[in-house]
Amino acid sequence: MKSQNTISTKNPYNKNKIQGCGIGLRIDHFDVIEEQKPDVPWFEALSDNYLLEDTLQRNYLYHIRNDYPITFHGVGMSIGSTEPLNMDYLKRLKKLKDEVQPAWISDHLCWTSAHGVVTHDLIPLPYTTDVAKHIVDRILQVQDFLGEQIVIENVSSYLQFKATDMTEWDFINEVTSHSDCKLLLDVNNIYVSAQNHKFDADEYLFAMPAERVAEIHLAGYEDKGTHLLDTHSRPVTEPVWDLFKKAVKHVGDVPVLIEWDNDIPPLERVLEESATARKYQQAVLSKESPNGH
Amino acid sequence: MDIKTLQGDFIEAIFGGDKSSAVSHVIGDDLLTAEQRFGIYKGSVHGILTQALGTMFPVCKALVGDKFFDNMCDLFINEYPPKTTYFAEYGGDLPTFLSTFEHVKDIPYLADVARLEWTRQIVWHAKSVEVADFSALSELNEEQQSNVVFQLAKNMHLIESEFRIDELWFAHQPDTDVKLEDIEINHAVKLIIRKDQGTLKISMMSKDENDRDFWDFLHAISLGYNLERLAEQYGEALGNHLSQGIEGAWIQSFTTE
Repeated sequence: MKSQNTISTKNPYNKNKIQGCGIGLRIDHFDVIEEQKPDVPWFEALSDNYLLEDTLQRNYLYHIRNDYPITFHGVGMSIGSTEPLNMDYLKRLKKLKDEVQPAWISDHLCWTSAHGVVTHDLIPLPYTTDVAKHIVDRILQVQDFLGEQIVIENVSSYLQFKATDMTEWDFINEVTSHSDCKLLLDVNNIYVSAQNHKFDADEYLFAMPAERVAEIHLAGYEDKGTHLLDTHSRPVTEPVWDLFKKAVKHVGDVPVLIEWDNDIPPLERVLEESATARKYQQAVLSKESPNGH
Repeated sequence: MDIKTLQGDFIEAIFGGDKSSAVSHVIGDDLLTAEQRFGIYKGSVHGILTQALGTMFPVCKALVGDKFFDNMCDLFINEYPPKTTYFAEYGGDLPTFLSTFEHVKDIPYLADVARLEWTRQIVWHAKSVEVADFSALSELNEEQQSNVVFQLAKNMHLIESEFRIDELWFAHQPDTDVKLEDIEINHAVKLIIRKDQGTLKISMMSKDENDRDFWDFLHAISLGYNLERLAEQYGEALGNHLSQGIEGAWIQSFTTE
């Protein structure tokens, strides 16, 4: 199994170190990134958007990869589906991976397609031992096909299933330990789900396997009155920043990423958000270090 | 609990079918009932797909208005759920849906506008092509040549409409000189949509007789006419059309039937 952050000697790119606070690569910012080459530690590319070959978008990705470290983040793997793995999708993903050589590939612990229909949304799973085994089998197949560990993200949710018989955090531990995959810890998703289902976000957070966390996600949600909706359309809220600080204390210095997918502001505003994340992260790490700085 | 059944129930209910089975899997509480909690996902899926369709069909959306478009998409999504993981491949059935959609019968050109917008997407994502080598054509004997069938380049498509959909499209682009009120909509057009050196072009081929003939020639190729049939139809003009088609990389390759 290839370790994270390892750059192949065949890599045509000269840097792929993922550290600090990156941002999601969005089409809206392509031109300004190309023209101004802003100081961004790394970008997370939504891999599903680049899987069709010979497109302008894919060319943009090649260009941006020349200047920045990249990770891949997808929705289409549908790791929790009961239909066979989509091998066309995985083949395309592998080809893109070979070309762009991202530091890692992540997707979500949920299902997006079933019975031949693709919802393009992140639908949660019932948390049971049998479902965990099913997911573990599929992650192992994907890792075998891609030839590397993948990174799985906890999703936000608005419903719980009657069939669930374990906590979400136990389910995540079960899946990650048995499949030996990495974890993308979405702190905003923990907060949103904790509010929606009235569980203790701290209990969830501190149950996470710190040694498996490859990346942290932060984003903004909308308060709908009856529930919080994970819209990625707002700045990170104070309660999520507070939870983030606890997360840094728990997992240490891992890369952090700001996601902003709707009502996308100018690039500078997203970079301000990542600078804030870095500031909070460094403050916690400084306190946690043996020398106090 | 069978997770396969659960996922099938969800798919059924998200795309317009009976939702009682899907809801029966979900826990309700004092804040939201099980049905409302399920409804958040149904709304989210439809919202994501409607947004994608709006990006794919911006002129159609402008022609009918945002609210009407969103409601129309809800019905379309139920009738044509996505079978593809790639957003760029979803929406190809919208022109067919619109051609029989009762609520837009007063906008008879809408389905053709949708066809134009979809074709732009297809062409945009098609591979770029170089001028192909047709020297092997001269090595065929007479009978083989008669049976030759040409293939058009994949980075171009032909569209025919009873309406001036090209002008309608241009009128909705930024910095356009085309004004909606000046368009004579009931004017038939033959169009070529083509990606050339990274730029997407819509060319109207029905004004000039030569262009019109060339469009008809390319259309005949798209219908699978062999060289013998093309010769019968175009006579002396065949040589010019073939040269123009090959040199301009409109014709990409050939097979012998």
